[in-house]
Order: sequence, then C-alpha cells, then structure tokens
Amino acid sequence: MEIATAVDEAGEGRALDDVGISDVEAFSRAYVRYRLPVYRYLRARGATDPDALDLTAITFGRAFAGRHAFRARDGGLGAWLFRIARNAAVDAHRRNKRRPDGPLTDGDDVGLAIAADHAERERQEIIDAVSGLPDGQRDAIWLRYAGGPSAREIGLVLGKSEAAIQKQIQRALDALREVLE
Amino acid sequence: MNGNGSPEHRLASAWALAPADGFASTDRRIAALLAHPETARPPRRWRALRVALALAAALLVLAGAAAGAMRPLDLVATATPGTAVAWDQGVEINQRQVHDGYAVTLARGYADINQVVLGVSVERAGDSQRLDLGFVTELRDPAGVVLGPADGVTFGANDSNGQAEMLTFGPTTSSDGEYTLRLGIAGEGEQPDMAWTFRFKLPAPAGALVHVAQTQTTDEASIAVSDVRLSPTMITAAIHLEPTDQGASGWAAIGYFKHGRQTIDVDWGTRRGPSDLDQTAGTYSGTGDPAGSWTLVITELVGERPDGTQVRLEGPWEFAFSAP
Repeated sequence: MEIATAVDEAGEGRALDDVGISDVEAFSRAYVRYRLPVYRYLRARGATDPDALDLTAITFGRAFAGRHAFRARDGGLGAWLFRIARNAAVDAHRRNKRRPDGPLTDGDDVGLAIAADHAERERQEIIDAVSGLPDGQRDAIWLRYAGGPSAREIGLVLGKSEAAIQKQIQRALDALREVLE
Repeated sequence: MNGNGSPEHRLASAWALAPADGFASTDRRIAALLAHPETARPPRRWRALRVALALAAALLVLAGAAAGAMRPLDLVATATPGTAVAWDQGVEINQRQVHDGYAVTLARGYADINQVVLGVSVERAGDSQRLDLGFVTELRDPAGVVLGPADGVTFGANDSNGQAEMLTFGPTTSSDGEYTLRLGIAGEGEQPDMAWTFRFKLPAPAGALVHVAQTQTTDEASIAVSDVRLSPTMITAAIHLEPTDQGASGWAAIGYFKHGRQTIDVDWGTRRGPSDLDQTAGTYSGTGDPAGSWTLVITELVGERPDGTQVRLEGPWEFAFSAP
C-alpha cells in the first residue's frame, strides 16, 4: 500500500492550484481529484459511510459556493478543501450530535477497500491507538494518513506552522510506535 | 509492533476506505451543482448549457455500473433529494414531438413555490444512439412570465438510447392555465432553432412563503433575511449582506436550516441577486411538512479582497421564524 497518495499526486494538485477552480471544468477536475481523500478524512474522523458521502458533497458544495474566493497563495487547493471538510465535520457534529467526533468503531461499516490481507484486529488496534492521542496530534494524523495532505497543508488547515505540524506528527508516531509495539 | 510494517503504513492501511456503493450519489449532487455555474460574465447561454451537460454526463459515467443500468430519466430524476421529490410528486405529461430527426418527450412536470421542474428525454427518431446535445429552453408560466432563464437546466445524462434532462426554472407566478415550454437543440456555436413547443398544465405549487423580515448584526457583518420559501424540493432564503469589510466582494453564505431535530444544509449554495450583496441561499433538500418553528443559521461568510486575499467572517447569524 502506498502511504501518501496526495504527495504522489502533488504535481497534479499544483496544476489545479495554478489554474484555480473558478470555472466549472476546473472545479470538476478538482472534485474528481480530491473526493476520495476528503471522504477518507471524514471517515477517519468517525463519520459512517453515508455520512461521509453526505459531508463530502457538502464540502464540495461549500467549495463551489466560495470558489471565486479561492486563491492558491492561501495554501493551495488541498489545504482549502480539507479546511472546508474539517469545518463541515465539526459543524455536523455540533449540530446533530449524531455520533461522537472520534475514530471509527467496531459498529461502523468500513466500506470495501480494506486490503484483503489486512486483519480487522490490526485495523482496530490502530484506531484505538490513534483515539488515545491528544486532540491536535489526532487531527494531524487523520489528515496526514487518511486525507494525505502535506505537513504544510495540514498546518494551513489547523492554523499551525509546517514545523509545528511535523513535530506533532513525529510525536504522534513515536507515541503510536510505543503503544503498538 | 506486529510484522505488517511501520506505524505510517499501518495508519494508511487502516483508513484506505472507499464508499460501499461508490461515489454515485455524491457525483450526482455535484453534477447538479455544476449545472448552475455562477460567472461574473456568463458565456453565451447555449454554450453554458453544453458545458454543464457534458460535465454532468462525465460525472455520471464515474458513477459506475449501477448507474449504467438505469435509463437516463431515472438517473437524472434521482440526482438530488429535491429532484427525486419532484419526480415522484410530479404529474405525467407524456407529450412527444419529432423535428429534424430528434424526438423530444416531455415526460413529467412539477411545480412548488421554489421551482418548476420538467423531465425531458431526447432520442434520435428511428435510430437509437448515444446523444450529447445542448438544449436551450424558454418556459412561460400561465401568466406569460418567462421563468428563470438562467436556470434552464439542472443536468442531464445519456445512454445508448438517447439523452434526458431535468430542467429547472424559477418559481411560477401563476398556476391558472397552461405553461408553454419552447425548446431548441444547440449546435456548436450557432443559435438554435426553438423547434419544439409543449403546452401543459401543472397543479398549484406547494409550499409556504414566510416573511421573516429580520436583521442580525455582529461585529463582522449585518445580515437581513426578507423571505424564506419552504417547499418539498428545496428551501431558499432571500438575504442581504452588509459586511464590515467593505473592501471585499464575491460573498458566499454558508449555513443551514433547522426544523425540530432536522437540519438541512445550504448546499445548493448562494446565488447572486441584483447586487453582490443580495443573494438567495438554498438547499438541495426540501420539506414536506413546513409547519412549525424554523431557524436559519448562517455560520460564515466567505469573500475576497481585490488583491485575492480570502476573507472569512465567522458568525453565527441566527434567524428564528415560524411557518403556518
């Protein structure tokens, strides 16, 4: 499994940044490019499959409404979309209190794409470990490994510097290594 | 640590999820959204329609095999919760006309206080084939008023038998008499001939119009809500913005409606009115039971300054009102 799909496709993301998303065709390309990372990030935050799909649509709906305000200099398209997605998830949690704003649980429908050889116990072990992290580290980990944005983009989403995010992620990985070993 | 790798790999594996049924439902919502592009200087109308239809078709292809088994009209009818309601609650019209080798069928129609929705399919007369046509439409209500010329298409889909569209128009001013739909098929770069004309009746529009007439002011902005239209296919609010940041423009309102335990997001976006500060905020879902207490919550305004800097004004601005 490849870890950092967004990093692997950074060139494509930059191309989208360069042209902006004001016109419909560019926005459509951005949607196709980012819908899966946004969906995965929302799933990692604890949304069920249908809720994550709904929030993905809401995210891109909000992005479309505000697309004329988007500028690459504000941190790039990925950071902008993940910030909208995060706000949408927080709004949904605050309004609906449908479920805790936390990681996936045993009761969740986990969709189709878990690798066939990846045991459910392994997945649950990871999820439990991440749920024990401090809030800031947990959010950075969700973004990095479910959504895939870079540390710089995560910093723009969470309002922290790139260096601070790198430290947070490193501390989180150290903590996870201890817990999982 | 088990033998499956580093924490980085294990984290990525744990969240390598995909939607159980693919992105079909999301694709349809976004396709419907893209069919209403707001541009400062709109392109020629038939060109804009072609772009919207082509994108909608492209996104629907992404919906995958499940979508491929459906007829185009079935597909577009379920594009959003609102269009699904329009399809279910609409009336059968079933008028078919053939011109220039194309057979156009006006299958169903629906009206509420937010919009008129018409389901149309097109096929090549005597020769089934995939079509990718752009339409130009003009709908006159029974009072002779042309409805929502900028909103003449929701979005479309096609398959090997032809093409289908859910056409949406602004709210009718009268329901006492016949509507007239004129329709043309646009060729590339040429003004279409409006060869198809359909006359039909629709039931009186459903829904509740509520005069809210409230203004809420924070340090960031003042927002006035004049009217809210609550209907089965969508909810819209007419709003006027007065942000303190006078140097920014292109404002968009983000928020939701609350009705009992139900919340409905303003996911249709906001549409510019007579000025940049007069807008309509709407939803893709409606309500079949508008009676009772409602709250419109605008959580954020997003705009931009001339230098391209994004401006985000945090709310909330809340408007409580009741519908009979």
